[in-house]
Amino acid sequence: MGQQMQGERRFVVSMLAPMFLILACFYLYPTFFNLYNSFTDLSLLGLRRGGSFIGPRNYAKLLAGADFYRVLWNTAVWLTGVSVVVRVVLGFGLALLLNSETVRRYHLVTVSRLILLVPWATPPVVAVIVFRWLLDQRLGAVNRALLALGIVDAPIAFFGDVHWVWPSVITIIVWNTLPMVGLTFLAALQSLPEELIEAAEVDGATAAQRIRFVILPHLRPTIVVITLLSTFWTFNNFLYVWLTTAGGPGSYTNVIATEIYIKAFIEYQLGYSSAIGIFAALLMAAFALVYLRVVARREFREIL
Amino acid sequence: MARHIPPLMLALVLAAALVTPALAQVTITFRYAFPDGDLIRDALVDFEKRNPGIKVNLQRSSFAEARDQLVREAAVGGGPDVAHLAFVWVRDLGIAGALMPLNDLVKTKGVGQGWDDFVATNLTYDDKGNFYGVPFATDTWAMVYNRQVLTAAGIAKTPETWEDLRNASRQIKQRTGKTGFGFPGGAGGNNSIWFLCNFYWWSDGGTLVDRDTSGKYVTGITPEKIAEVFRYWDSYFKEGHNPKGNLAVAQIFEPQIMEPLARGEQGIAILPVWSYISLVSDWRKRNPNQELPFYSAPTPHGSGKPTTHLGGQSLGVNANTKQPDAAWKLVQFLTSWDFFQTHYKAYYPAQKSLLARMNFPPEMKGFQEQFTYARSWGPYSTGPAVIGAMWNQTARSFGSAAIGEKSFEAAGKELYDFVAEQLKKQ
Amino acid sequence: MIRTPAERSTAAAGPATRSCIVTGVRPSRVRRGLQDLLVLAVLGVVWAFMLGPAAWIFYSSLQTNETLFSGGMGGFTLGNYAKIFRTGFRVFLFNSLVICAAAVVISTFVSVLAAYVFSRKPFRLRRLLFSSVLSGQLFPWIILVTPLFILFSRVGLLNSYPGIIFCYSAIALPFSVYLLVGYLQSIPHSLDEAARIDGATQYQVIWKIVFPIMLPGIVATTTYAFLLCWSEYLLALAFLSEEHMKTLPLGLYSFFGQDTADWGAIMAASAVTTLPTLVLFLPLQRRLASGLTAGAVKQ
Repeated sequence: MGQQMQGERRFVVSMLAPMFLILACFYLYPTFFNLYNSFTDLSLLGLRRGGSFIGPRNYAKLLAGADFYRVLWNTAVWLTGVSVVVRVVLGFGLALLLNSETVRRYHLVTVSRLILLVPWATPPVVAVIVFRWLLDQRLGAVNRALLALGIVDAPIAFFGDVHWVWPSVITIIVWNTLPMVGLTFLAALQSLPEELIEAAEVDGATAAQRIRFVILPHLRPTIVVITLLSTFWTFNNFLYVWLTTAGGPGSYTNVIATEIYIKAFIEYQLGYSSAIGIFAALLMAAFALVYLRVVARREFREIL
Repeated sequence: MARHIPPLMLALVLAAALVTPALAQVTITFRYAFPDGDLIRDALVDFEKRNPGIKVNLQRSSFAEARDQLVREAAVGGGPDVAHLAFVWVRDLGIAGALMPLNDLVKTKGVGQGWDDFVATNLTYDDKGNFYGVPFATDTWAMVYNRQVLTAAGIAKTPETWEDLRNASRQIKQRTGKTGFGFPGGAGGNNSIWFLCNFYWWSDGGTLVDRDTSGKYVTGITPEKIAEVFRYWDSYFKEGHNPKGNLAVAQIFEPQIMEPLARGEQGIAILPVWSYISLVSDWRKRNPNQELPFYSAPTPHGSGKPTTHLGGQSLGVNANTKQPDAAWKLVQFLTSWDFFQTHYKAYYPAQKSLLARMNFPPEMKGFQEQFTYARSWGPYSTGPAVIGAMWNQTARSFGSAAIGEKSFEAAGKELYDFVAEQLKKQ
Repeated sequence: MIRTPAERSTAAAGPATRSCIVTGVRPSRVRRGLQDLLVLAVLGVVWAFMLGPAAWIFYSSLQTNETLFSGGMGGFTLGNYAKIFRTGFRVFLFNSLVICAAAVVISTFVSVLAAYVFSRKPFRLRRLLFSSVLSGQLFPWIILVTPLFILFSRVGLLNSYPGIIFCYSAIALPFSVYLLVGYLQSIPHSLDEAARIDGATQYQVIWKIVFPIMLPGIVATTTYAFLLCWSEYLLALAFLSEEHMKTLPLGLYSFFGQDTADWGAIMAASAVTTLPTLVLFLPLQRRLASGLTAGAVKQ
């Protein structure tokens, strides 16, 4: 018995070793580099000689600045919160649409899937260029259409007007990443056995009730996973905001990743930007902990 | 014995013949940061012909990332032998240990028409008298007007003061409905509002960073003046002759700025040399055989003279290069009149005597005049303040006042405090 | 339960009729016609939104720089494509393919091993180790670039395939493991137990029994990983400075200058960056669907 346990343990270790080796080599040094440097005044130009130790001053400056709370708010609520919710809701609607009887009868599912792949495969920088041009105030197609249809009297400055800038940025993110969410949900939906729907109908359930009591529970694991992954990716995302508005107008759309970039590569304060990065990672860790314990408990009960 | 000598000698001669070219053949890399690498490739073929023992590998890079990449490489001792840099990066990169000091090379081997002929050399020095880059190409910004739009709006005279400019812009919007002075007011590391604000301050007697008589770096402006100029530029947006959408555009060459100009739907613009050349060429291709409606003119002024910055690119030699002599030969070639005449025709050499020989076509006359007014960044770059940080903060402060998040007075104070904080480091 | 004739006929009706019950509309001719119209209209809007911008990119890539933004129809040219291939895009395409394919193969292989153990073997510290896998995803990537650059240059792995492939594998690992674990949760243990009883070794069980069933899940994970590596820019920028090593995103960014941008080249570069992934997806998209499916099914 002891021999078997030993062999078992060796097996587990040998299976996990390659993965942890790769992860350790990749993430450990940067983590310690940033952790150490967040307590120094390292400058980007001083990489060779290193920075001098200044203790927790970077963190103090971080938490004391009023600016930073706005950055946090932008990142947590606008960039991550709203965009993840929008993507999950629209993705769910998209899945229902593509799985609907009409679409299936006309054999449009495959074509739709292929069309959805196109935005997914477009590089973010190009997505930003296209939408900045489409939503341009003077010459963009969207404003021209709105004016022609009489919906507005004057063209909207989508990226220059503070009421419109976040929705516009979120639109770009949604265009580029909704297909992944939608196709994932569609696949899960297609695995739902017809009998369950039928049984519900026979029991007298309305469409809304069917969605709530049959479809949603079936999709729940997928929704949970996608929400978590999307949150991680979006919270730390840099490119979409930076390429669209660079955190402007002013610092209205500044998020954590753009603040890190500005502090590190524009103001040369590498130590301070490391502190921001570590802080952001701690926030994400706290979120993940809460999320996995509370929301995902059922799905990953065995493992967690 | 005699019979063995010829084969032996043959072997020695052969060996010598094989080894010598191998010893003489040297390869260096040149990293060029603009998209028109084709021009450089042709030039390098020319260079290799003139210098048979040297082969040059051309690396290309995006301009926005070029400096950061060099800084990283400096930390580990890598990077290209010769690099294409912005004027204002040279000093920082020299201090970071990425570039080698060029004092000796210039003294012993020379470059161009002599070191004093180069413009803006003060930006290449560190505090100890070493300099790290050779100015390569220079440019500046000037006003560009559309004659047809001005006439349609009833404007007969080119604006000379900042007030004139605003009046003209207003008038264009009122009388023709077209955009007056459409300029980018957005945020980002390479924003344009930084230039606009500095041009105003400099032409009115102020400057963000100055050097007092004792050599100490100080602020040369008051928060009130900063606020006044912010308010001035914001008035274009508030009054509607610069569309609000331009608050989200940071760089001049974006289609949001260039396209209305090319379509004749905007009357006034401010452009760097290369963007203007590109605009003219675009317009000519779209409207063949028609007379060009654009002309250039110096920027307006306040109580002083019209002043813009002398911008441009420099060449630096890697501190870790193994072929400093070959690298220097390349630098000498790239700063020669031959090179600018034959390959790099549309760029302006950063040497006074060569600049005087340049031919400015009629639509570029404004730029020719503007060059006489342009000043180098000077204390901005040689002082302890990080120029990129001030550049970025200017747009941030301006932007938050423009959208009403803070008053202009608060924004002016914010930028002033930021600069003062940067200068504390000396 | 007593069924009315209506219910009986509904139950006996074909899948098409039954499924339309999900949307709650009775299958009368007119109703169905209107319902079709509505659904197809919404679908059309979705198609326009998804495809429109991409179509504009492709269309613009065939325009000259002067007419790209002018909205005009003139200026059809293949010059942009000629230009980007003349300045090395063939090499960039090759590099991207090799690097991403290798990284995905390595990360998939490693994550299959780890996922199997996470989902099948209850061992001490399983919870802790599983959570720690995700810890890599917590950091914003920009703070990882500088230290990674320093580390990799010290071991001489800059401007080399092994260096960047290793990095991309590490990036793809965390969520590959996550997805595969989720997928494995839905595959019954009884299969591998039966195989063990029949005398197979652990390794044989993984590769001969579980792997084939997991294949759709692996296809899904591989596709996500590939796309992630394909458009990765920050690390490639730092690690690959020599022309012959660069990947597609780097090639694309090099068309942005200081005062100008080569828009035509940028559009052509974007088309060339997007198309290979589409070509890759086409045969896989069916497998993609079924691969994601089982990952969501709960016992």
